[in-house]
Amino acid sequence: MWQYSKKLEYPVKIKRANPAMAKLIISQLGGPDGETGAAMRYLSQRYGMPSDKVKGLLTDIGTEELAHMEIISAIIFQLTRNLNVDDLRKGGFDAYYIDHTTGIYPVDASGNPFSALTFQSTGDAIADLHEDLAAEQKARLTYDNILRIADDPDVRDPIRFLRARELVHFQRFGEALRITQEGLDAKNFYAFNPQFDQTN
Amino acid sequence: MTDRQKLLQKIRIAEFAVIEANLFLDTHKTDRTALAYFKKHQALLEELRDEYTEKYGPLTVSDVKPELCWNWTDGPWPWEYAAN
Repeated sequence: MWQYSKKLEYPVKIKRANPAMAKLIISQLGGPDGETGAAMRYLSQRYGMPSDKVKGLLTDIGTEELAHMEIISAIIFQLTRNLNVDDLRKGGFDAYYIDHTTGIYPVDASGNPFSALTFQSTGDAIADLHEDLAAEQKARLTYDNILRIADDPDVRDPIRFLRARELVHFQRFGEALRITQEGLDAKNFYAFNPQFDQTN
Repeated sequence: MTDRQKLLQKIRIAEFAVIEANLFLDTHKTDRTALAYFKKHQALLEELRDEYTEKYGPLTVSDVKPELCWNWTDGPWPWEYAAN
């Protein structure tokens, strides 16, 4: 189970509203490489992992991703405070406003709602950990794309923190893959489906 | 920055060290330097959290000290400008 800790992992303090920026950054909440997908991916994949270390790592990184959903949500929340109709129109936030007002709803930058089809849980540790390595890189490059566009230092600061976390998670997943491969039967040279073919 | 925000930031810094050591130790369970680092920051975090709870209220429901009034729901909540 989980217990809520009443603080952000990294502070968000955005002085100026900017609905156009919110519309782009929201992709890291509901988009294909966002934090919601990351949390759901790792917390779904962990159950049948052959290594206890990897069960622990997926639990801990999955938990941190929940905290990152909260940071992105706080950024969107603060970027869309006190807007008037003119701000909504100019910022291109009017379509989102019709459906959600300024409520926080997981969509990508084009407005598509979050989909579990953006991640997998295959029951195969090798396949899942390769996906996790790719997922961290894709989240990192999305943050790079955001950083090329965002000029407000209040926005850039928490985005840079989140970007740095992707690099650390990538590193840890690389170790998890090595640990998993080392635990395989040496005869399983191609590392096929190590979970399903073993009794637990 | 208010005194409450300053203390909260110290807590975040200590907790970040704990999170980072936690993930590292998941894949390096006998690394003595990392174990010592975790222990040091875990103790610091506990101390800071106790101070915060005493002065400003609970950060988790486990820290609530129910007396005359339920203060867990008191704002600001973490995503609000005033909380950070």
